[in-house]
Amino acid sequence: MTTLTVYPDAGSGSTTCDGYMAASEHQIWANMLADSGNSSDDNDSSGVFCTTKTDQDDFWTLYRSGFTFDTSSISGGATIDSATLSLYGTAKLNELGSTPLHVASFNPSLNNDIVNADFAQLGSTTFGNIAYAAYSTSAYNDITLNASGEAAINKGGITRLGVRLGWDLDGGSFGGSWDAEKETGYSGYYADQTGTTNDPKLVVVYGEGGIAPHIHHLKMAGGL
Amino acid sequence: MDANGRAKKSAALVAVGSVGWTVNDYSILVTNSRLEGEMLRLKVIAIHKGVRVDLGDGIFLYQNPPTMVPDGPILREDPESALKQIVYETVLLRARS
Repeated sequence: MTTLTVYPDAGSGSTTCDGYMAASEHQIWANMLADSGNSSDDNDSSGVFCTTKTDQDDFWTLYRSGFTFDTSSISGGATIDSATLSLYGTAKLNELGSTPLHVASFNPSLNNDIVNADFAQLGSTTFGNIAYAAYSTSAYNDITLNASGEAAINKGGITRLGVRLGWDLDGGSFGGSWDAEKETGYSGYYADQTGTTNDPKLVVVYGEGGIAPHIHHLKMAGGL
Repeated sequence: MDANGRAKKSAALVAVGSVGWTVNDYSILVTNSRLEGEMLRLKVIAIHKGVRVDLGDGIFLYQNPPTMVPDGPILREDPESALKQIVYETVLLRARS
């Protein structure tokens, strides 16, 4: 088994990228979830991965984030043994209650640029999560991907992963305790903390595929 | 950063060469390093408290690896420290799996 570690490119316009997408509008939770997004940034060195904030009497923002990784060096016949998304945490808040950070599918319009509309391009099946209490604000947070996440590793191409709050992934009614001008969410370093040992990373352990030998006839000299 | 830029980063870590160090009860040895396309390719052995860590074939590949490390409030270019940090983190991840 070989271990491949991949980091996104900083900024946009290269091969891969990372960044956030947000809906920032005064609206109810259900409308926030269904929003098409109205801001994004793939040049932040650090910032929000996923969070929601309230204003005086409603919800104000919901952030999601996306990460693309060049896994083109993994051949199509390879077998994925494990995959881990690692995000270096810098801050967290649970003023509205606690909900895990989930990894999900991400289907951006481009692999090397995050745009507002990518806000609506995250899946609702969890690929793995980390609980609020377990999320470190001074180290990498390793999220082991489940079978669905492993299946999302793009052998020979670009792997795209999104991050969203548990309440957001669930897609139903708000699961926290609403309060005015509060926030629950997670922050950390993006790849624009350029070329550092704090960048987001995807670690894939895999074996190269091959055809196992089949022995149809075995004759042993001298008997049996 | 384009492929050439990523390859330069990998090359900076290849230049560190074979290196061994001990950190938190892990003895780690990079026995071979070279470029594979734009990637950094290492052969790694790790021992934890007298027991060899199962690293599979011991091949670690890094796409677009970091070459800078935090130094208080600033970042500094330090390929050897970056190499040791990323390899140690990979060893830890493999040891837990």
